[in-house]
This record gives sequence, structure tokens and C-alpha cells, in this order.
Amino acid sequence: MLDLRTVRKHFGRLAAVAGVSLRVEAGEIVGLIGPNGSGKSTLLSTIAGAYCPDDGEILLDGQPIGGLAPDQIFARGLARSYQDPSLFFRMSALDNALLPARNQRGERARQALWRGRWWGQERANTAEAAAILHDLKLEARAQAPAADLSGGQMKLLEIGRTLMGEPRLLLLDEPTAGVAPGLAYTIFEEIERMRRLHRLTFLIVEHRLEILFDFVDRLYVMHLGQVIADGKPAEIEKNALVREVYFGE
Amino acid sequence: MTLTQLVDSLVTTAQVGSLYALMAVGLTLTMAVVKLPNFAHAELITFGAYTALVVSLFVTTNPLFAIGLAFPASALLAWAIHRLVYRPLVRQKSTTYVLILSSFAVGLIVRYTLFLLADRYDLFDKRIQIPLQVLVAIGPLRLTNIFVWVTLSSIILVILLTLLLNFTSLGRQMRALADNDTLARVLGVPVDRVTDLTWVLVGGMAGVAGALWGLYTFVDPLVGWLILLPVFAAAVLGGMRSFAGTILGAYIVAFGENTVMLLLNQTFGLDFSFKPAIPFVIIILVLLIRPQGFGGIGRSATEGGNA
Repeated sequence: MLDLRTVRKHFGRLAAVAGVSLRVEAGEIVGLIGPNGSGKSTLLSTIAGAYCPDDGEILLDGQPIGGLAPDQIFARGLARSYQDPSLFFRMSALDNALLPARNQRGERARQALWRGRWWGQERANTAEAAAILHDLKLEARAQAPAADLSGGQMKLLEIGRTLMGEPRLLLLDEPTAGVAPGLAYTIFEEIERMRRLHRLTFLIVEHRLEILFDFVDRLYVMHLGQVIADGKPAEIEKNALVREVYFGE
Repeated sequence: MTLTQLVDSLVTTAQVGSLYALMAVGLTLTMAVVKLPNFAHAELITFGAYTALVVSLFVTTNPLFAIGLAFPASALLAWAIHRLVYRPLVRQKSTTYVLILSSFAVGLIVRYTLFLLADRYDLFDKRIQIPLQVLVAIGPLRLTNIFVWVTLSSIILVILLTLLLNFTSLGRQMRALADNDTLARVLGVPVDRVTDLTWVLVGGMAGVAGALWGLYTFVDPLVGWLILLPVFAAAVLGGMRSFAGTILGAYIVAFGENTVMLLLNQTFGLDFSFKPAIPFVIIILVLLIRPQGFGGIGRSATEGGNA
């Protein structure tokens, strides 16, 4: 589904991503780990279109997406979440969830004039967004401004919101950063449930390895902008090089 | 002060306050969604006033037509300015200062083009031709058809805009742009289309406000420019973000200019030429006590709920 071929991204003389190749197959949950500064977040941002890759190819379902604008990439079914929750903090949780819904008729000037043209769709979208909030146990906070949610709730809302845009591949940047341990586990259970329910594919950067290893199918390990290992969790745990750079052993 | 004077000043406050509110919510919307304190907002008002004047002089004296045509006229002007000036500047990553300066420039170009045309066709200090009727006369209270047109149209338009912002997906996208435009773009909000429609709405409302202002007083090429400052004052009082606060601010400014001015004149003999300074005295006082303006009052333009 996602295929990276020797992708490079430099900032001045710093090679943040120094020739990364990786593959994510449809329906997989793939982890991306590595010490701080190893280039994980830069890689996610490059895939999602926030940065233009300096070299290499990024293919989504065989189509090159490297260098496209973020909204074009989003339109092709690739959504991302951020390390710091990126929400519309002054809007309600429900409004946040509603925003990425596709093909909203009410936003077209000619259609917006006729309530009958968009009202039914708006109702359906609202019901769908409310169902997502319900699944995430956020329904009680639906009308609250997003700024009033807890850190964990913000993370859940951010992930849930992407569902309204009908994505196929989700890039999550530390979905449990700053979240209490119990809720962190819940978030990953939610990710697993979303994969089953919506047939989604995930590429997840995460520092909480004890949780991540329970949920991922495969892992890539990055160090100094390069992939130094990949494999199933059990293999990665035994990999001597990974233990050296990551666990300092 | 006589009772008639007091009642008159309150009627004027209601009328002028409604107009300021209509003008100021457009300005607030521009500042929130497009992030531009648009000084050419004044000329959108003037252009609407002239459209209504020309319609009433040469086509029909039906106020509905005069006011109704001011909407598309100013909407088109606002859209054209956006496409010809602001959007190219934004795409070149110009700073807000450059944009503000360009809005001054655009305003001046439109204003003096109107001067040229007004001179050519003798359209200075003309009144929009709608026959005045007194509808209500109870004791000192006299309400004219103009008063009803002005206050009702303003209030209805402001309510419609509030509904649009809070209960439609277009409104939600405008609020999203106001909140975090980068994120909105990433999440697939059609930013160009939403911005276009924002300008159309802002321009149209300014145009109607100008037409209504022309009903109430005279039309000349400076009309928008002269009311822009009290309108800005109302928006600042609203914290540049909240609709409820902006509307409250508009009535406070109008109250200051009319009723408080009258009181100061009668009590301390303060000359009426002091009137334009009153909104700014109010602003300074309010901002000293409540620097965020009335932004926290009611639901703000960029917050809000759902159907």
C-alpha cells in the first residue's frame, strides 16, 4: 500500500532522512521506532506532504505522491495525526469530527442556498461523527470546545476525526504521548478495533514500546536517518544492533 | 434635556448601532477567517451605498431593489479585490503589514474612482430616493419606515450570518479556517473556495449596510471611510473574534456617539464636534478594564455548536 524507496530529506547539511526504504501492506499495523532525533517524525511529515522529499520515491498504491500538497495526499486516503494534538481548539469536539467529511454539499455556494440539498447529508454526517465520538467514549464531551478535553481525549478525537475523511492509511505520530498509561493501552485497542472495523492500515511512531510491541505486525527501527532493522516484534527485541542504539546495551 | 431629545437619541442609537453591527460583523469575519484588518471594507460600504443610490435615482424607488442590488454589487467588488490583490499577495507570502497597506491602497483607488464618477454624473451628497413615512408616533417616539428598514434588515442579516456560521458545513469550514488554517488545509478543507465565499458574504453585507446608511443619511464617496473608524471600534470591543461581542460593541459605540454625546453637551456644554472622539474614549476605557474586549460574551464567531 505504501512504498518508500530511498527517500531523503535534508535540512541544510543535516540529513534528517538519509535514504529510507520501507513498505506497509494493506491492513497492517507497522511500528516505526528509534531514538529521539532519528528522523521518524520528519519521515512521517515527508510522507504526508508537509515536506517535499529531496530524493527517492513515495508510492501510495503504486502512484507517486512525493511532492504533492498535504490536502492532495489527504484526498488520496492518507491521513496523519500529530505528536502535539492538532485540533480546532475553539470548535466543539463534534465540529472537529465533522470537518473532514468528504463532498459536503453545503460548502458549495449554489447548493448552500437550498436547505433541502444539504440538510439530509449534514444530518447523516452529524450522525456518523456522533457515532465515532460514541465509540471513542467522547459523546458526553461532544459540544465542549476541544480545548477543554483531556490530553488523552484530544488524542482519541484527533484519530477519530481522520475517520470522517474516509482514509485508508493512517500515519500516527506518538498517539500516546502525554497520556496516562491506562488510557494509552485503550488508545491502541481503539486503533486495533478501527483496523478491523474500517479495514485501515497504520504506520505508527511510538515511544511506549511495551504497548506498541503488543499491537504491531512489524516494526522498522530508525537511527540517524536510516532504517537499521526491520521485522516482527520478537525479532526486533533480539536484534543486537537495535539493542545497542536503542536500549544502550 | 427634553424627553423628546432623549427618545430621539435612543432611536438614533438603535438605528446607527444596528448599522454598525452589520458593518462590524463583516469586518470581524474578515479578521477571523482571512486574518486581514481590511481597510477597504469602507469602500465596500460606499460602493453599496452608491449602487443603491443609482438604482433609486434611475431605476426604481422600491427600497427592496435598491438594498437588494447593493449586495451582489459589493460582493462582486470584494471578490474581485480578493482575487486581483489579496490572494496574489498572500501567495507571495507577503506579511500582514503589506496586506494592510495594500488594503489602504485598494480603498483609496476605489474611493477616488468613485469621486471621479460622482463628479462626472453629479452624485455628491445625494439621498437615496425613498419616500419618508412616519409609521409610529406615540408621544415623543417617532419611528419612520427608514428606521424599520434599517434596523430590521441589519438584524435579519446578522442573524442569518450567525446561523450560517454555526449550522452549515460552510460555516464550520470558515470557523476551522479562523481557528487553524494550516490544519484546515491538511484536512481537505477547500480553502480557496471557502475564502472566496467569505469575501462574497463580507462584501455583500457591507454593500447592504452602505445602502441602508444611504437611506438614513447622505451618500458621498467618503461615507464608508468616515464610518469605518467607529466600525473598527465596535470590532475591537468584540475582541475581533466574537459576533455577540461585536454587536454589543456596535450598540455601545452608537450609544456613546448619540445619547452620551447629547448628555455631555447638555450637562457640560461639550461641543457636538467632539462626537467622533467618543468611540475611542470608550475603547480606551473598555480595553483598560477588559483587554480581551467582550470576546468572552456569548458564543464567539469562531466557536459554536451544531445542529
